[in-house]
Amino acid sequence: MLDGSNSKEKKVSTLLQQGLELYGTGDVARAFLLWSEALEIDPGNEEALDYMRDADRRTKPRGGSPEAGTPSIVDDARRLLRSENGEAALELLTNAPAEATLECEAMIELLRANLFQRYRLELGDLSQVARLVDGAASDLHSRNLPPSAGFLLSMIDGMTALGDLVSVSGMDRFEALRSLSRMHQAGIISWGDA
Amino acid sequence: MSRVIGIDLGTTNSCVAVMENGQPTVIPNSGGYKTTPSMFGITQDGKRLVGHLAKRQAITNARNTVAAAKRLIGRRFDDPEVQKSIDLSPYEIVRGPNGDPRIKAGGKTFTCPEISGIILREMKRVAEEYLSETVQEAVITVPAYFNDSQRQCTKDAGKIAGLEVLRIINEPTAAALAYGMNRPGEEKIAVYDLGGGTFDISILDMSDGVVEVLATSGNTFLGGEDFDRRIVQHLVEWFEESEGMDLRSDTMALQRLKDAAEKAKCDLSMRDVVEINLPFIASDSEGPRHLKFELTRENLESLVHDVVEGTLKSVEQCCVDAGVQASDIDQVVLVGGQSRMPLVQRRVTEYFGKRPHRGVNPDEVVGLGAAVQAAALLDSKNDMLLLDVTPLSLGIGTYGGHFARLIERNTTVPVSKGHVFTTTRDDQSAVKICVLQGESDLAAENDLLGEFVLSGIRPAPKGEPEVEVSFDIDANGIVSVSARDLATDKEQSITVSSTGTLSDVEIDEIIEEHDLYEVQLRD
Repeated sequence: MLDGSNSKEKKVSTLLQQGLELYGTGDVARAFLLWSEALEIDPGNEEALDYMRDADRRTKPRGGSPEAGTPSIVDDARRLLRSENGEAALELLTNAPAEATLECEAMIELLRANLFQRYRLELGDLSQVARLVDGAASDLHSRNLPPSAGFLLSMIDGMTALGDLVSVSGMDRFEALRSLSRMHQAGIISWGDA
Repeated sequence: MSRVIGIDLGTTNSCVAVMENGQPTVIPNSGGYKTTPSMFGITQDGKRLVGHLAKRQAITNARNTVAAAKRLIGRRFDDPEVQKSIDLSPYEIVRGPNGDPRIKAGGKTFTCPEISGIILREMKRVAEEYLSETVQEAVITVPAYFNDSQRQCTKDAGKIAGLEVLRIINEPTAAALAYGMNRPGEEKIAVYDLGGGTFDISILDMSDGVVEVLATSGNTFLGGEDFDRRIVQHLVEWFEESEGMDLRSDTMALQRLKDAAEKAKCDLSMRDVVEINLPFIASDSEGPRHLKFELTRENLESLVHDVVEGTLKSVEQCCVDAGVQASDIDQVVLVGGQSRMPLVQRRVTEYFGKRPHRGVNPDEVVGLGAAVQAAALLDSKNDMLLLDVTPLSLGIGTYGGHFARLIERNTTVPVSKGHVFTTTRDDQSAVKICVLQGESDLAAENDLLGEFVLSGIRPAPKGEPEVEVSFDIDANGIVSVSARDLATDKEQSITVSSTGTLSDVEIDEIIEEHDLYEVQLRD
């Protein structure tokens, strides 16, 4: 939670967004600088901490000569992102059989960062308790969910907060939030106060 | 006046209770559960989890989730029990600087009292939330076979949790208390304790308010979790046969299977058949796979029959050790959640020829007994509801490697006893007092609790100086020893501080560190 005026909130929000954009283009160092600046204004800002944790886990050496690669796949992903279908864009790139190019990698990072931000907005501060939507259990088998979603579903007991679900799942934080968001969008789970 | 709580600090699950309106009452946690898993975990992102949350990721995060620290507390690293735990535990157990076992989790190394302190702190928090008041004092139970070092370390754990431990009492004694068995007259009581991780059988003699533990036996690596493992194994084998997929290396699937197996096992104590339904347990190129299995009570009993029979072998041995026949037993008490199983109850009834006591939940009975004792300690008219006895003989090592008993096992505590010893060499100026606990006549075969030196003995032929060695055991079973030169009145003493016991400075440091995590644990 932020203390202080709206201008501080705006400043933090701008720093976070600028950091994401830099991260998406591969400028991880500058992205970290901007997120750190956000933390100085708002110590403990969960969004900044999430981005830094996720980026830290995923940062890998960049370099090598630029490849011709699969520019059409990256273009397709950009088009999907522009039509606000970041999920589909990420699926397209992560399932692409071609070798990873710098451009492709950068696009994946940008998509993850954007989706991360979306999930954070959707799920809030993760303090709310997750529940199975009434009637969802009856046709669960007809859905096409991965085992990780099944695992998360098995832990939903009407008492455990979203943040605790993510912690005990042992899953990559992005993947856990993504799974929860997908199940929410599919009408399988909801959340509310304890 | 603040309340004193009773805590059953179990190997697998813990329970806290308090006296309310003259009745012992178990305090449920915020999730409504009356027992809390004795588990502590640290997630990948450094979050500390205790209790049910820790249990839910015990398999997916096995390396950083600590369970059954009670098997290690107060022991030496080289103890066979610790070595067996090392072989079986998914988390790392290392040798501490004091020769004690320590546990690594989340990149940090913890002492065993520290881990138990974390569990006790959680139980304290549960009580405070329920009572809406601060709790500072507690009675904590331990197995009857716990030696001095294990009891001291349990007290240290209480201190770390911010609790003054008023009394350490034996678990079978607490169980007998909960059933109100402190009546006039003499009775022989069998306490069959089948918990989540350990099995203990104790034969007690209760006579006019004095409890004597005649014998104990059991298996510290046998409990309800072994029953769960049998079910999981059965499900994994069935799934492999029917779906052609091996779930053994899938930790997410195993976590779900373990949770479902335990639930099914518990449900089958009340029903004849249950359905185990685990959608999306796995997937392959053909899509998601689901596990749906009907488990009957009969099926379960066939899976675990040999485990139950194994407990009865320990019961038989315990009766032999106690010098009693099954027919001599007046009362049978069941303790531990696993003893709810109909097969267990049936076989125990058949063995003793009488039905076990009912009316108190077996996984709550020890906690309730601790609460009864806690209330009795506050009652000035009744500050000694039951007298316990020291489980092991106490004495010192003497010349030639012998063990001189000063206090025999099964002596009522508290107790003080002394004996005069002398020197074995001419002009011997100091004596080393090695404090031992055990039943062997050879000093080397007993446990060394501590040692100290009394120096400044005046030069004299051997056999002339007189050194009075006094032992004091308090009501918790904790030992103090002193030695006094009767000629000079010079005295040296120790409160026995065994392997793993922490200094006050160490305890204060641990408390300070854990206070930082208090907010996290409350989340």
